[in-house]
Amino acid sequence: MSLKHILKIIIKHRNISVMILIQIAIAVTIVGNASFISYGTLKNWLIPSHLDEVEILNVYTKVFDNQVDKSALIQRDLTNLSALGEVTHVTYASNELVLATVTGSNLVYKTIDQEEAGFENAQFDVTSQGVATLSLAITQGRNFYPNEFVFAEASHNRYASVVLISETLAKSLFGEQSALGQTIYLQRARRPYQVVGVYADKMLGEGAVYEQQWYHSTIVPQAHFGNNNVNYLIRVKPGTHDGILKDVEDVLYQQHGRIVERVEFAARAKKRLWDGRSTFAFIMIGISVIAITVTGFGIIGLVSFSVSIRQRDIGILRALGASQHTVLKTLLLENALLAFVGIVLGSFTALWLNNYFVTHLRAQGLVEPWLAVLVALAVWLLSAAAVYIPVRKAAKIAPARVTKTS
Amino acid sequence: MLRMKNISKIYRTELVETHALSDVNFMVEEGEFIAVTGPSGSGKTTFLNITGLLENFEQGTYELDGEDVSTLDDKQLSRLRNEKIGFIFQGFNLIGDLNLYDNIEVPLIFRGLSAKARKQRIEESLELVGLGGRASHFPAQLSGGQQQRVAIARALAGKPRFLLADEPTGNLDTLMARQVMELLEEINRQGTTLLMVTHDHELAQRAHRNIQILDGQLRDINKNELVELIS
Repeated sequence: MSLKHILKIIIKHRNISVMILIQIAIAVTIVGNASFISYGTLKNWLIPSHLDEVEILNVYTKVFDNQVDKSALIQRDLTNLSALGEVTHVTYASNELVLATVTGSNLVYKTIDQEEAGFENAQFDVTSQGVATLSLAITQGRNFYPNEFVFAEASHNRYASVVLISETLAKSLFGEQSALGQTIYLQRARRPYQVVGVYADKMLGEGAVYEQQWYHSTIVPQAHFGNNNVNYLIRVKPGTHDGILKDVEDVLYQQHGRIVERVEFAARAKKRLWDGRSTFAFIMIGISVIAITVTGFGIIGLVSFSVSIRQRDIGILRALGASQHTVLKTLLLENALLAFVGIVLGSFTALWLNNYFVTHLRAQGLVEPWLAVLVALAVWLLSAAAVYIPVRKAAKIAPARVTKTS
Repeated sequence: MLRMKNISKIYRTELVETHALSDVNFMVEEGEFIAVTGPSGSGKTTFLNITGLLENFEQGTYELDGEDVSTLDDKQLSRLRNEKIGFIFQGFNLIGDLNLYDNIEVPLIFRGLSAKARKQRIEESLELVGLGGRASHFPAQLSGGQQQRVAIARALAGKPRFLLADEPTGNLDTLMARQVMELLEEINRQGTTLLMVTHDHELAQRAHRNIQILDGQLRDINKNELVELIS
């Protein structure tokens, strides 16, 4: 039979055709997204952090007593934490902590133009030991001078005037031009800062990576206080054991009017982040396995039904000179056409859903063209394999079937 | 053109063996019109299936145009069926999802004919059966007699050497049956060999030769003797 005849038969049997097509489209949608998310998660996990994950601590505390002088509290905390034997550097962190999931307005802009979209950015507001705590290697320009640090009540609206930026961010903003001396604008308020140095990339912030922008970070020599959150970044000596977590907590509890919410290594923060994301990826893989199984059996069932109601027609084709091979080829081609349309539809749905996941659910895993092709091919092969079982049986329908009505 | 020697066909179940055909010897010359009659269960359909290469047999030899069909595989049998045999069935056996043009075109595609050649043959055969203007109609839009004429057109478009008709008028009223028979006789007069299986003795009388199947054996009614191979 020619393609024309096959298409006519598909249209005549449109109910079954549409059901097969939808099954395949759903499978492509689910498996496609599961693959994108799983691959994205795996790929991101494998990107090196260049970070001393077991030498940096994130410390989260909350001051519940409004009578506490936070400026004095922070000064005392910095002194007390520095006094711990294993601690080498400590900084008050009034914005982000390492590998913490920050949602909000940590954007960086090249101009003051309100139309500019800006880049996602991990912004670290630190005190004097901030650069040392994060162990940043300045590759261009200089470190901060002591007089450039601003330590002020948040309500006073005092801000630093200089900033250090990562190499990748410098390239994103200025391309091959030097970033030194350039002015950048931070957060939605678009406050201006002059770039005085560029440091080697480190994976510091997670606010950025949701947008697939890696190593985008800035270090600002300003530390604002006033709200209830009082957080620190601590660098400890290599080989320091977990006991340091309790020691830090004990030191912090020496100051009244606060609770210590969490003290953890950057490695733990990273693991928690990726655990959450990989769980989502595993759930997607599980759903896609179910989808593939259901699709496979669904196709077998639908094609078996389709073939069963066309036994007489297949018998006629055999009597008219179609060999088993011809019948097999015709039915496989018919289903390959359905699979093709289903895959095209499913691919568009997958793209739309992927966009939704990435935009609204902050899922990892943008569309990878080669992976999309691989998924399409895999689903096509699956559908062909599923179709083959009933179709092979149909091809064996005896041509003598046509005389049974006599 | 057709020669069967000692053909036997046995249907087996767990409990019983049924000898549908026993040592059948049969020969057909080019251009003959042969009617095969017999009561229900006598083996007519089995005989037709084997003659039309729709079914295989256990014993004996069958040569079609000098080719021993017992040595052929499914692909070769299908090709032979497509090229040399035309079928007309009691139930018409048209494909309901396709229009008349497509129904006639399908076996020609199996033959590998070009689109132009197919078109010419389809139009000619439809004209011949008086359905020239209805190529785009579907079988369900036609009467039984018209459907049978389409089936004849489909068979003729392949220019077969051998036309097998299984109760071709069985589902038709008297008027339609007469028209279809006249058409078949005309086709035979033009040189196509015709083998017709029928219950109707009156129709059978119109054939050159009248064969009866009884208990799996063929008997020449005119001679009232078992059909023997003409060597």
